[in-house]
Amino acid sequence: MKDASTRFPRRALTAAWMGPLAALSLAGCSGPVNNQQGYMPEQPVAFSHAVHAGQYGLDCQYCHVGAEKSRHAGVPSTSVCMNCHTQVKTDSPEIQKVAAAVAENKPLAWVRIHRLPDHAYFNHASHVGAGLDCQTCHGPVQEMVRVEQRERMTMGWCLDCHRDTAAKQVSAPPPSAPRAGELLALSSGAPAPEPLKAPRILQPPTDCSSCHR
Amino acid sequence: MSDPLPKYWQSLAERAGDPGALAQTQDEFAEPLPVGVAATPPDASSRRDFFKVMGLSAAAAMVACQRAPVQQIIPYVARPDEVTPGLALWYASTCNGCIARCGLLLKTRDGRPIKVEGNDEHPVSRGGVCAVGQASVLSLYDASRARYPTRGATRVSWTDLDADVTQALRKAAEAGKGIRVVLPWHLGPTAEAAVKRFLTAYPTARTVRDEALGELSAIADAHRVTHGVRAVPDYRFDKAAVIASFGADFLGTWVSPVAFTRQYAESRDAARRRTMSRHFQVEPVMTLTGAAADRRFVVAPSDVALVLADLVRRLAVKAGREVPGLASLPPPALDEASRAELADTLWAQRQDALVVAGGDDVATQVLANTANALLGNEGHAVSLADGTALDADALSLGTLLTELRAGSVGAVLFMGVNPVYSDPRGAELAALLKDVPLTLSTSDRRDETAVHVGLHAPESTALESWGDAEVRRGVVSLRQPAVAPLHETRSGVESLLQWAGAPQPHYDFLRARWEAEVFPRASGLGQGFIAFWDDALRRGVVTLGAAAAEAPAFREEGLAKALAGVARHAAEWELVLYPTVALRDGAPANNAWLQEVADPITKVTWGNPACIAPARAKALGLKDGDVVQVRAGSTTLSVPVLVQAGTHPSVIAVAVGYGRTQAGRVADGVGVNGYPLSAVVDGRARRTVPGVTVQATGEQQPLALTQTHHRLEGRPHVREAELAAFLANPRAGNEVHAGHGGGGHSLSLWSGHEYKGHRWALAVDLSACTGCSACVVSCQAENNIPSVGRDEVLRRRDMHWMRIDRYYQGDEANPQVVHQPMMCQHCENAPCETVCPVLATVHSSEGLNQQVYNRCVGTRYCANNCPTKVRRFNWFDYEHAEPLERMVLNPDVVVRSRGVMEKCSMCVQRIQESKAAANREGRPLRDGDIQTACQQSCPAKAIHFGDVNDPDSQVARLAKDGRAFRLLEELNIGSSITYLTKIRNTGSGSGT
Amino acid sequence: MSNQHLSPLREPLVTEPRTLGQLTEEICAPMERAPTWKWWVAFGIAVSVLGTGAGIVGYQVATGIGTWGLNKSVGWGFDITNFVFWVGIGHAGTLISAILFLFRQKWRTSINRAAEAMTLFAVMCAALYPIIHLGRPWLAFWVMPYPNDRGSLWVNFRSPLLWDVFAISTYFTVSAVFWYVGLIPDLATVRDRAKAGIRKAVFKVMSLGWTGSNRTWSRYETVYLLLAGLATPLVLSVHTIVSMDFATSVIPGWHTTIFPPYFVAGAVFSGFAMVLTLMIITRVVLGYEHLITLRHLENMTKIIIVTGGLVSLAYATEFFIAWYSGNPYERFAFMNRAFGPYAWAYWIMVTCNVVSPHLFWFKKIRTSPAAIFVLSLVINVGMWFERFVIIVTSLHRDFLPSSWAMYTPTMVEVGTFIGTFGLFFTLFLLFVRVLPIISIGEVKSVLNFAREGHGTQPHPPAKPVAEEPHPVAHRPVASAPLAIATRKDAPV
Repeated sequence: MKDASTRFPRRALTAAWMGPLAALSLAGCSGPVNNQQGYMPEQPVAFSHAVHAGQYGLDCQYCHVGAEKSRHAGVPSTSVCMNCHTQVKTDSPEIQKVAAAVAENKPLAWVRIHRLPDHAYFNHASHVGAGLDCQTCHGPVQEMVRVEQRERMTMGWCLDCHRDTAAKQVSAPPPSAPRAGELLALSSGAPAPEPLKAPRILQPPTDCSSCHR
Repeated sequence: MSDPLPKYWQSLAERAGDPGALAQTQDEFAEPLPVGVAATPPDASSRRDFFKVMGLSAAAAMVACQRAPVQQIIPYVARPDEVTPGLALWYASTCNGCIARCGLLLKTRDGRPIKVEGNDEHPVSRGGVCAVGQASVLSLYDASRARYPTRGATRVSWTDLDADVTQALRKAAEAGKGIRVVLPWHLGPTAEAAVKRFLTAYPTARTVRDEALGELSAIADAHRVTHGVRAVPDYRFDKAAVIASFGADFLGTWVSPVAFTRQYAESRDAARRRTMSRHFQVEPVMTLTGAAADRRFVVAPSDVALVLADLVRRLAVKAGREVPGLASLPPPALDEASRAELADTLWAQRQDALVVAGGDDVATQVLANTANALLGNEGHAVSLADGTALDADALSLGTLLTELRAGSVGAVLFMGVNPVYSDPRGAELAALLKDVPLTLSTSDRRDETAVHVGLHAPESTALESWGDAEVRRGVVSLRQPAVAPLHETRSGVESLLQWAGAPQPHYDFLRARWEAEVFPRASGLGQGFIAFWDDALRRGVVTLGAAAAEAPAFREEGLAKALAGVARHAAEWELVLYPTVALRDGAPANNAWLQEVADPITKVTWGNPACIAPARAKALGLKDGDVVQVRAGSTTLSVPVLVQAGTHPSVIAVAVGYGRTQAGRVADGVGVNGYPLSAVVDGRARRTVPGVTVQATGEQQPLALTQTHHRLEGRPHVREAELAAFLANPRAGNEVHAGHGGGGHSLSLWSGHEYKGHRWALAVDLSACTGCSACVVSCQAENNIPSVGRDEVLRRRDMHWMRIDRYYQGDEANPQVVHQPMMCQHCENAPCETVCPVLATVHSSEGLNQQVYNRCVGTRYCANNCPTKVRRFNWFDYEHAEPLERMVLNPDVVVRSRGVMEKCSMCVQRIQESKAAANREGRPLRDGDIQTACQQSCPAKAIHFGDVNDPDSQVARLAKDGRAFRLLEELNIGSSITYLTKIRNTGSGSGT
Repeated sequence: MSNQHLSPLREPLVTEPRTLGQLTEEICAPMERAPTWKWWVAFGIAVSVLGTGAGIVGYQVATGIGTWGLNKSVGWGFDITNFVFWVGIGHAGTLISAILFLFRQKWRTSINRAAEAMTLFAVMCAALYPIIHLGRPWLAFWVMPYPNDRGSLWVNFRSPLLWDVFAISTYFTVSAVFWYVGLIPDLATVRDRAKAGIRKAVFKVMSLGWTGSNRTWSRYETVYLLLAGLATPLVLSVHTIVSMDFATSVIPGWHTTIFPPYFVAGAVFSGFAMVLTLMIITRVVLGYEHLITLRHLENMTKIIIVTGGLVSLAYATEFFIAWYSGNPYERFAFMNRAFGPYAWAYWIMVTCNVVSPHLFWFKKIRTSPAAIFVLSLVINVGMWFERFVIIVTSLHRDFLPSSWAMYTPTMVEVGTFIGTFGLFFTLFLLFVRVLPIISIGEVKSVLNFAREGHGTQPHPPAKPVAEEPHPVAHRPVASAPLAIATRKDAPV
């Protein structure tokens, strides 16, 4: 009993924290905390990223074409699957589902896994342009047979990375494709835009309006 | 803790004595809790168990409510090449909102048009769009539009309808009965060609041109008298050093307000040109143009023509010419000095002077033409050679009525007109239509005319169909659809071609005509038609190198006859029916954005009051909202009164465009319809009606005003200077600012913000701003701002992030007016930021005052503490009642829920987008890369956005200008918005 | 207590001769007998008003704050007016208890309990407003700083609203503890009088094992003194901080440094008026005229004269400073108060708060419960209008004339306000029924015989005598017999 009484204050302290914390996290449900970490729903077609991205090493952007230029990485249109699968593995029942969808001109309804609340704006292009690997946020997708949300994807998680990147003064990779201005210049004969003097040091914003607007 | 084994088993494994399961029972938590409680050794304390249970149930509750409903991603089956989800696609096009036909850029997202912007490359409109043009994107999604063709009220297929129409037309033609196509004046060259094709197919067919406001036909008919051509000249306000407008609201509603506003703003850019035009306005009611004028003369409606006649007489004397038909006219009720000043100032500039007249009276227009001819400004400030010719053979509505009464008409097709609503003889027309075998309307909804016709063949909206326009000779613009027709509608041109027996898609017809007629006019291009066509599509407009044309000469022959009708109608009351900036003739009435934008002068939303002069109101004991009965002939109208400064005492002015009955959910029953009160003189409807009676009813009907106090109370929020004073001292009128040292005594409790990169700011030129409110609607469209309706505006809860404050000063019989665009000032030391308990409004590292909706709990403390009262609160969930209308929402901006504060974000989504684009392309941002919605649409280019940390940016230069001042500098809020002093050229010599 | 010296100059605080037993009996009586029909009627009304108010609040929360008459310029109206009003009312209790206790004002003893209860109930009514006036009241907990997964999204410590949250919750907590601690000896008395059953069990728990021993009393007195010391600065801080909601803003009419003392004075002013209102009703209804005597009422009217004077001075100062500052916005704001569209509210305020307290200079009025009652109501009305005037007239016409607007409350706002009265009176009526509304232990100490030290002998004094103030340290001795009186075996 002596032992218990000496330990009591510490436990009481912990307990005192627990109570309000539990209450608040309970209330927090109605708020924007929408952590779906570990979410791994079944998809209409048993598509395996482990096979496509892992085994065959397809580039992510072969299918997710928007990632480089748009807010949305995008899910490939069904016809993209058929680029290969008119020839490859046509006898698989899963592929036949896709082929049927194309034939009926009826899109497949995939279940969305990575999802931010409606009031949070995320731009894939900015992150891909800054040289981030897809895996940084999406986890080792090339190993996933069925995709799951690996990271917390909460506001704190986003901000941690933004703050960390700013602190480390990471520089962005040079733009891979010719810049739009240069393309225009090539075709029209107008002077090309000035080249960048130094590589861009990433300054990931931490302003609220970067994501909430 | 004597016995660690539980008395009750929790699982089968445990019961079977599985050691792992037993070990687990040592601790109630199978997994460690994130807060680290489970890391402490287990003990027997019951208190601890209590908290464990509590924690577990909380965790369970969290898990239970953590999963949001399943969302699906539905990709394209085959993605169109040009579409990348998340990226906007822009189409260059031409506005169809009014006769001005401004150049547009239509922004589409994922196939939906969501925003209308001005096309900077259009040489006439030059990047501006008015409120009506901005709102046309909402009209596209109007749930009250007709969705399929009908016979009576029953749905028919297009094939059936076409068969019916063709058969009836043939029958009418064979019987020698007239076929009448009632059209607006301006259709565009291709549509006119389709009309011609139709007329050729049916020999008895004739066009009838109807125009609710009658302004264009008055101008065209006056030119037929004075120049022998039914045409509208090209007015060039940028070339005018003196402008005399007789009731022409050229900045608001007259002919081509966007283009004129730009020209006007340029001619009055005193800072750049070191001179500015002087603008006289002679009018009975305050218009947007009158509000901008340097000198405004308030005269009775029937005196406007007399003042103009007097001007012509004086100019004739100066020019040493004789003008017939003026001798007998009585002198106007305007003092001699003013009349002399007007004539002298105009004569001094002659070629660079411009006289324009508004209204639907041909005689007044004839006088204006005569004045211009006497000044000899053809080819300078006015150019008939560059103008547009109108249908010379068209009949008038009066003629049509005569024919209908005679029973000689076999078919009437209404295309894009609504005369039953907009003409005083509408009721008679509706009755006469019953006896016509074929009556048809192509209106986009079953409107007041369409409910009286047999067949309804709904036309696609301008955003869904092709078209073209030539608003100035040689400037041909193209209208291309931004979306496939949402409903079973068809373009009017296609219908006409179908009925003419030459069915052809609109696109093919248009392209063929361009190849045959437009392309040959384009000289020196050195490219094939396909390249020309692609370029035209991309730019939306082509400028043809037109050879200078000879303008028809001025003729005096018809003058005396044309002026015979000019006389003074001394009456106790004269009714003036005028169009508003938002609703114009009433065609776009079923548009909540337009109903809710406050009239720039009256500040009334959702309705049309009767404006009367303050002196008259006082004499009659009337105040705002008192309902009066206006009687013209046998027609009466009950309408609430608004005491409007600057109205002539004999005038009662009612806006047209309201009182729709068949426009749809939004417009029906809003305001009163003034058109039936119009007079009919010589077969023409006239919107100025002398001799009406006005009677108070004792009833009250509150007016939904967005601003109820109209004077500045001596506060220096708006500063102005006279041109002469400004030229002598660039800080004229802005001396207070100097006192504050342009930022002033900046003692602050806070250490201040540091901006390492950009610092965004706006500059607003009060000299350029006319108050046209295009920016207000543009902002509303861009930022998903809800329309709240009349009741909420009555409660002073309008939601606009951007508003235009209008203040009067001086004599209320004829006050001076200033407009001040007001948006969030993005203060450096923002009062709102300190008071929010939850940090829902904070300062960004780029100087923006950010409102974080999802953090806001809605204390409204920030709005209370906002000295400019620009914050807007979501009192309710302002839902879009019609799902279709949600299509207009901008996916880059969140839709705010009830209970949160919102306000101008300086279009932060545009900033982000441009920054991301620049980063992607590896280039720095340039000044002008980012345009806010208000800036983009501003016809006067009064708003400038940019980075004040970039010393070369326009906004940084303007911030240091002598005219620059900020609101409430003495509060040390450090506003990011720079206002520039308003410069007037009244000629009074001294600045204030 | 033979060494105690009695002053013939001081009037007795309890005017009727009572023995300790009689007093206990008398104060406990309302709790132990069945409620009268009067109580039922009053309670019925209060509960139905509360129910209606709750329904209205429910409707408002479900539909949106737009059901109130607020607009883009006037973001606060009835809500914050009532909030400040109730917080003001909630001032007097702790003031009477703590400050008067520290100043050894014995006359507080028969009113402090009820006044403290009033404080708690008023603060509860007040605390309702900051929550229901939110656009999203279900997120009210965001004003609490707590660890979260939003990148450490914290609260804004610069915001006076946040200070308010802390000030009011602290004030409420300390007031509640102070009240409860003061209740403990009486709870024990009730426990001891109760027969076995729920009542006994509840009071047993609530009285925390009070034995009435000398040591208990000694500790109790120390704790009570400490709590009084702790509560006193809070009385000042609460309204100081409430006033900062306005004072730290930039709005003319709000932005002024006089607000903290002005608000505290106003709060004491209104709080005392409310105490008077309630006490006058209570003493009549429960027949406590000898415990809550005219002297009590008179003392309170004197405080009202003083605080009323302070408030008047503040009004005058505001006007003077507005003129003296030369700030045109400030000048306009005050001219607008007095002569603008809300001038009626301003002049009601002036009449009630500046003019009416001066009637208390007349002894006749000061000693007429009816007159005091009417005037206390008048002052409450006046103080409500003071808040209304400050909030609404400052907001409705501020810097930009384009945004000037009028504010008219809706039935929902009025209903909510009336509903808070329902809440207040429901709680107060329950309090009257379940707890001793006069501090038995403390009142006994001001009984004449107690001061004379005659122990257990009843001694109706022939002439009024008053007590000599004595150090608190002596209290346990003086009150020792009281402890005996509360014991089960005591002859009561």
